[in-house]
Amino acid sequence: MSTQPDIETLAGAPAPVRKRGFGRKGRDNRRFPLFLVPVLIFYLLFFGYPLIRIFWQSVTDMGGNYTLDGYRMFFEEPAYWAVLGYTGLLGLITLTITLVAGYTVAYWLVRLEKTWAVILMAFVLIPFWSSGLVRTYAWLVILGRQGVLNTFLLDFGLIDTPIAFIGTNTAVVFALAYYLLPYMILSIYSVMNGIDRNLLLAARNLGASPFRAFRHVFFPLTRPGILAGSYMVFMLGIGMYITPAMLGGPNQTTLPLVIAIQINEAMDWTFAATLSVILLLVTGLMQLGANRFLDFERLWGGAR
Amino acid sequence: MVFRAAAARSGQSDVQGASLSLHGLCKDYGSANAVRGIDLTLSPGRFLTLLGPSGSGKTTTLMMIAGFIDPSAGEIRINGRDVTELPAHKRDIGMVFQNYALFPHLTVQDNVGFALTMRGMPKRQMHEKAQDFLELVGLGGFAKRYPHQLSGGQQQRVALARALVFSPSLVLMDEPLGALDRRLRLQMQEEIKRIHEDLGITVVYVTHDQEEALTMSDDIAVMEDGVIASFASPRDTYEAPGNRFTAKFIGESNFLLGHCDSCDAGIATVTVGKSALRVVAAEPLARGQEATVFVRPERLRLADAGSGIDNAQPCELISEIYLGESCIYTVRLRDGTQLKVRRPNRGIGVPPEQIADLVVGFEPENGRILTS
Repeated sequence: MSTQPDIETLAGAPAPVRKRGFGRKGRDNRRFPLFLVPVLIFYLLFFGYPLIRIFWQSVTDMGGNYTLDGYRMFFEEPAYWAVLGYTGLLGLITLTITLVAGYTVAYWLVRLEKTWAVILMAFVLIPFWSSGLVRTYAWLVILGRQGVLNTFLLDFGLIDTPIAFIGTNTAVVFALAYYLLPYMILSIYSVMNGIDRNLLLAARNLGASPFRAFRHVFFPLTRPGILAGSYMVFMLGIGMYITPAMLGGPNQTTLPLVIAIQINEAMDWTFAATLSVILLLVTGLMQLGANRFLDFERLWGGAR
Repeated sequence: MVFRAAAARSGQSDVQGASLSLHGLCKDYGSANAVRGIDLTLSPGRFLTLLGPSGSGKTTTLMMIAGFIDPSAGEIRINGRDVTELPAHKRDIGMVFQNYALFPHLTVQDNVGFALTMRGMPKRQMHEKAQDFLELVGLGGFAKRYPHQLSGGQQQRVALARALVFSPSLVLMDEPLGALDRRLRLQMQEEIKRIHEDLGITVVYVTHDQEEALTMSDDIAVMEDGVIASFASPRDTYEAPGNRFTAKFIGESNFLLGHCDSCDAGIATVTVGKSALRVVAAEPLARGQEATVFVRPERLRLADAGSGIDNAQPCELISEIYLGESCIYTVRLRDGTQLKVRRPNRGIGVPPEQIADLVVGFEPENGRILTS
């Protein structure tokens, strides 16, 4: 989230003088800043080491010998590519749904009166705070063979036999979108909330209809929120384990499920690590591609 | 004249001010009345300042003229045409916002040319015209920059260019200089004044800075509680305010409460405490009518009791504030009333602190009588 621009400073106040380096003027800037040492240790311990450990695990077998079996296994078996493709597709569809719904909700929230916005925001936050496991079980209760939805439809005579919702793409996608929607709403809302209302008035004053003011001023300014939310939803979506495991069937196998199987059942830690590395590389590459494609420099006003 | 030249070059040589009139304009927010009936008529090319404390309704009035707030009652006419129901984007009014409201995602030239883009002008032509106006505000070399790369003063100039580029005949400014430091503010005041005169546009300017209002305006409308308390030229607003609120809001003022004793040939005698003061009365007063004598500190004089100045009242010196070019003395009358006296530092005469038998007085024409 650190990449979000501070719209308020961009909009109005005089441009702050950017300080370069760490030290104050007149100090020796080349000296290593000692206060960063604890942070560095923290990073190495909790982010650097595990990452290196997983890479290492993916190229060593149980005996500790160097091997590329994991990667060979992945690239020689098209079924795994299919799983990877399905995982990505699931992420994209979830992203699309949450983006459309989240943008609409955030736009609506930001236009509400403050009191109502706070109350309604709480309804977004409460599920956000509650356990993902509980919320996935709730879907199970709703969508199950004897679940709320089937009982309702049967009672009203709309169907004769219960519909099998569980084990379908629809169930997985909806549950994922439901789970991830708050992330999208919060990312977009926080950016929308920071947009100076006067910018829209200025646009109107200069001859833009309400729609064109939205299209030329408001929407471009919300793009950082869209990006942040999209990244988060996509990354979390393709990494989710509980939802596809509980609501999906054999056809809804995602990469995290395969990784879990390798660890819990096949006991193949090398292959599990390999798949993790591949998942990581794919997301990293997508992020790089998106950065290039979306041109952050221009998006955020050139200086960032 | 440079602005006129720019306007001529872009084919709009007859930029002319619009007339503006407001009739019974009201805005109430639920129980609170923000604006409670405003009537004013502004002839083309005038510079009107809406002056008032915060919450007096001046910004609400401006927003109604711009079309951002729907009036609860009343109508707005520009060049005689009723625009009360016209949406904001069809009013063709230029506006400079308090914090400039420059679009952070657009370059300076795209900001300035925004109104032209909205009017369907092709990009190249739009950039050329934006460049013309940028050069006129002294920012010719900044076209490709982004707003946050500019200083506050430069952003202000961009906002000005953006509000003028489509040759509006009426320009609204909402405390445009509020965020600038004093030196820059004075410089921009002059520049805005020059542009106003060059283009002949009508300007409605909102500020709470009385000095700004006095130096820039043709007319000042002092607002209080959602109504216009006074509408007059800067000189009349300062020297002959119609009521206590206006007198108090602009400049320093002294008030002496009393009753009219007699009123004859334009001179009223007002009894204040034990003394009778002779003051010029613009309107005849009835005997016994309540009257407030109002005198500006610079119109009061301190002298020796024997000097024979008009309306002399014995007083004692309480404090002195040294301001360099002048001194502000606070004196107390026998009845306890405190008055402020400004004495220019001209190096002539006896300083008040050296006068043994001190009196404060003023000529009848330097006082005013306020009845409201």
